[in-house]
Amino acid sequence: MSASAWLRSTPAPVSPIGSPLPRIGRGAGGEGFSARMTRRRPRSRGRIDTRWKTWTLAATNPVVINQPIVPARPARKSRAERDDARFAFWLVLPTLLVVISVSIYPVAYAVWTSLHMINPAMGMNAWVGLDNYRNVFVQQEFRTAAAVTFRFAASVTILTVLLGLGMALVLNQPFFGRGLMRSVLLVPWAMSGTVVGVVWAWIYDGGYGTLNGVLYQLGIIDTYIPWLANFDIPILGQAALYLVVIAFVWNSAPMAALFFLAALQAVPNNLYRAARMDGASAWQRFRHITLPWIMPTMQLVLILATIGGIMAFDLIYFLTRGGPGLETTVISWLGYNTIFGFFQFGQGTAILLLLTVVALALAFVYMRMLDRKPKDHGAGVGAAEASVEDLDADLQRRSAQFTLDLAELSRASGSGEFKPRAQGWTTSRQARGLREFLIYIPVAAIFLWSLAPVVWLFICSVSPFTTLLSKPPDFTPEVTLENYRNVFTGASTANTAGVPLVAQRLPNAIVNSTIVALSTTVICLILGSLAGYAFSRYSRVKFLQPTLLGMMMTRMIPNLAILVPWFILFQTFGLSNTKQGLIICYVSFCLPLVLWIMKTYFDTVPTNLERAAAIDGCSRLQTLYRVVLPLAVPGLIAAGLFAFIASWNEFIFALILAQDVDSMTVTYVIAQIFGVIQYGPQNYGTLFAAGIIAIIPPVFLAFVFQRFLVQGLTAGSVKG
Amino acid sequence: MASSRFSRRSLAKAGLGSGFLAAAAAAPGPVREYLLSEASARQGTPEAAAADFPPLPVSPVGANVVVWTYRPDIVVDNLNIWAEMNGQPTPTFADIPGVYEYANVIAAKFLGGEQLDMMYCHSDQVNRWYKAGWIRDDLDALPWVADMKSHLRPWGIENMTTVDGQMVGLPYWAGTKYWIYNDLHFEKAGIDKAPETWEEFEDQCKTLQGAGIANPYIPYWRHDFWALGWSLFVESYSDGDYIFDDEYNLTVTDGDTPFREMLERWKRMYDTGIVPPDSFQIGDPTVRFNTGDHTFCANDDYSHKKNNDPSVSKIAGHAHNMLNPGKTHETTAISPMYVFGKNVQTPREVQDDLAQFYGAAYKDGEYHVALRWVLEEGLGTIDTNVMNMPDVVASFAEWRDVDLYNQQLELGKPRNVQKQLWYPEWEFKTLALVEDFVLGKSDIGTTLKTMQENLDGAKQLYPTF
Repeated sequence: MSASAWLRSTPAPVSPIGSPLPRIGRGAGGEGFSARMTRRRPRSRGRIDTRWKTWTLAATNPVVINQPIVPARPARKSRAERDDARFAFWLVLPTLLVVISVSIYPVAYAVWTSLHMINPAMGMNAWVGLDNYRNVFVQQEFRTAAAVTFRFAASVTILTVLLGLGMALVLNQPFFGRGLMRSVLLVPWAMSGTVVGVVWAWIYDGGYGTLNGVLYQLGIIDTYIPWLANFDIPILGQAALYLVVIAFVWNSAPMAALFFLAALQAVPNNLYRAARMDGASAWQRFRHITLPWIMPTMQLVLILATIGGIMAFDLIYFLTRGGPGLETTVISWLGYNTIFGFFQFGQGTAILLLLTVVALALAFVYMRMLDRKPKDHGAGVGAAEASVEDLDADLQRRSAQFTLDLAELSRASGSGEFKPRAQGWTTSRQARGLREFLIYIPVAAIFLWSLAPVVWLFICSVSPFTTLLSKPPDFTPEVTLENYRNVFTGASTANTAGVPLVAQRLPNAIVNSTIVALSTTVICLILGSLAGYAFSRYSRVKFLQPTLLGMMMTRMIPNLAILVPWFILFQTFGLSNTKQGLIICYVSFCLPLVLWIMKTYFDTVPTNLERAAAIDGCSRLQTLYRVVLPLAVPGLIAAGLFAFIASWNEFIFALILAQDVDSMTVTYVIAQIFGVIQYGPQNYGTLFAAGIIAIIPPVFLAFVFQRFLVQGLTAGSVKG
Repeated sequence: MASSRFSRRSLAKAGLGSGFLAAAAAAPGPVREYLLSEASARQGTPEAAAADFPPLPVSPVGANVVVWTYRPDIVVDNLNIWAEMNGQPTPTFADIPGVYEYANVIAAKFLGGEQLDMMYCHSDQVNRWYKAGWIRDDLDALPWVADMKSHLRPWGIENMTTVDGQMVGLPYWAGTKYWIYNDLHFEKAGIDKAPETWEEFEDQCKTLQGAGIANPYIPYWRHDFWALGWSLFVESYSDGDYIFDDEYNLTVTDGDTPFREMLERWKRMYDTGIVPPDSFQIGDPTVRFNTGDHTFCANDDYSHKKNNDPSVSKIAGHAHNMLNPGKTHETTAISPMYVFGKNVQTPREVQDDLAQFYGAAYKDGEYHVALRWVLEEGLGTIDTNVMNMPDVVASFAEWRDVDLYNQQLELGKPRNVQKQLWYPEWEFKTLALVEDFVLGKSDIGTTLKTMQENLDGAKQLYPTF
């Protein structure tokens, strides 16, 4: 079959996160048929109006996009449009009410606080306007922290993207055990910040650390290295900062890898085959097919990684506490100390809100980049009410696109960019065998990277504590289940000093966490899928775009800035120390993300079926209930998993809002065990056992649902 | 073990039994049983004991108690015993993980309007909570306080007293940081006695290095107020330098002060490898010292017990405390305390009674709470009546030199400067300055000058009391 034939059989590309994906060719106003389909509107770059939207998008994008051709809208709203707006409004309303009602007060309170000089110990509460913000910039500590934050966030973003993409590329290859590896990949993500902090602190320790032990046993080093000590990496600066980055990325890269993996699975194989036939090298295939295809996912990962890096707090807290000197003092750590350490609530909140401003600015840039991509659902035009003319136009466009792709491949081939593959040993069976074998090298690396710290945690949990202090380490210690017994049935002795009695809260906390996380998940899925559907199908309704943006913004305010108002809110409504309170809190955090994922998923679901249902007499709600939601089950599972793990691992609000045994969660109890051990028996074995037990539920879910997770983000692309 | 001794005694007296013993049997323990049986024996029956106490009004709500997470089982047990003895509703209880998070959560609770009857408090927070109007400042008026103060260590009283002179706390536990040495290394290096001055200390470290101990000294320099912040003062005090004068002015910025010598010594020890290169990042010096790779360790005195615990230490039985090296051997000690909320629903008499049960000898003459902490956990207290009990001395003697310990506590001094509202901000910046100097990123002159500038700046933001 010819390359062009392969291309003709190629379905239209759709991003796993919902944004339409670029074709491989360039082409604003490019050659051939596409030139006739693509109009330019002079001096309109980046500005979109209803009439010119789809044409100008092609002109402003560096790559040719599948654009639906939507007729210009009439100036006055039709009755159908008014009905759309009304229907969309009712779908979005519950979500909007939830987010506004639980977020507006904390956010407003935080802003109000930042405009005041507040110090309870001085009885001071005075309006100072923007002085707090002005004062921040003259502080040397803030300037230092800003530089550190920049280095930290940039490193986290780059490494998360590179590592996530690298792991996804490997796991996208066919090899024995791929399903298992995709599950293993998720394990670090399922660990809470407290456990990650403790594990990596132990790994890096210069006296008994695991990293030293392994390197020593392998003969790579002959003396232990104090990893967190004061040494500089040329150009980059203090090593301690980058060691925290590594721990951070270990925890966060799996999420990026999943997004990339989902995106990669949506790339049609026939494109690669066609490129191979034309002699494209692996790099050329990556550069010309893979990279353009996953670009929207890249942008999504960039948003999440950047915000995560800017807001980072937990690991700094556990690993370095901002030192040595101010070398790892990031802005969130400075803000935290200013609020709670110095009792300067106004100043500290201003510092944290500046982070919000930076995060919002970056997110706005990223979202603008994402928003430039027009909608395409893979099976036709995006609007539910598209006409037969629209469908015809879409068909013509696809035909034109195939021609363009073929022309682009031919051009690349003819220009010598692709070298026809030479016949010889590289195509032989032995070579394929070698390639199939070589894939296990990066697979093993991913396996070790993802699982080694967890395996080590498990070994520690079944080892007598003193053996962990051996130098060199004993990797085959005697096995004891004492630490696990402490969690379930152990008695407090002189040597365990109350640890079992705290640890025995864990089973109950697991129940609490399960109730809270499941409830959060269900609520988020119900509200998020309704709103997500509205945002997907009725994006032309004017109030929806700013609403979506506004809800996403609530995710970008550091939790530390809104702790106190949340507590006040809970006290006022009697929600402190209740599971219901935590559920409300977590719903407000998770809902925007779930909404985003569901919107993205609905973007990938073809609209033809909805039109067919409408013709059969289904109302809008019936269509949603009977047709769309069943199709979106994988998406619901994916979004649900995100909500569940995010709720399961949350710590800061659990600390402030739920200290009662009937409401405390797993992360809270883990922190309690850590506290008791640190100031008590210094026998960390029970903490390690608790850490292992605590990750079982989310890891179990991740293992069971990873298949749906990937499908959920990509299934829509193959339905077209 | 002290606990087994108490176990035998408690068994012998168990026959005296009491109602509240049964009521609180959910968490039995030898010390607890001993205390309760002692009380029962003294009072006869619980009914008689209750009859001897002036009746308390029954609170409409249980007392609301918040502590940091440390043996919450003991705290809950004590609360239940108290409630049972006095016919009070079961107190509400929460334990917050971590010393650092604890203070933040308490601040959030007060700002949110929660009513707290009793909570733990460190000396560095007490003045803020008092100034914010959150805690009671009338404890001096309680009838049993004057007698209690007569046998408290003076620095402990000072720690619990506000800048305005009111005592606002009652003793929970007390301790200091002291130096511990590993006698196996002494033997290996031919050292026959612990160092008495910092010069001797440094010399011995060099000798130990010569004997193959790479980093003989584990300092307590982690980047936070509990470790480096405290170490700065403890070590400086040991040479008689208190860093601040009575007017809270820095006294160390000019001339060859012991503080300056200390910083220069730290840098020397860092440069020569006497301390490990990651000293500022060592999360837990106890675990590191327990590996047996080091000779000296500066640590919280109660952690010494873990150095000699074979279940967690490879040097069990070989870790000994010594008097802090230095010209005066002085130290600064802490005494975390119980403080009591100002605006509460519990009747005042009930809150007062709870205060006495926790912070002093109770109406039955027993130290129900303090003695358990001392005997079960090895925590010290500023109450010398408790510390001098033969059973307590015997209990401590199992893992520390009690005479040296008491001598060290006698040489304790308060650190009043931490009560100033500007202190946390100054300390936050000072820790970074000190680290930068030790790591060779700045010189001593700049370090001391900047410390002064930071102090001047902080004093402009906050009042000095």
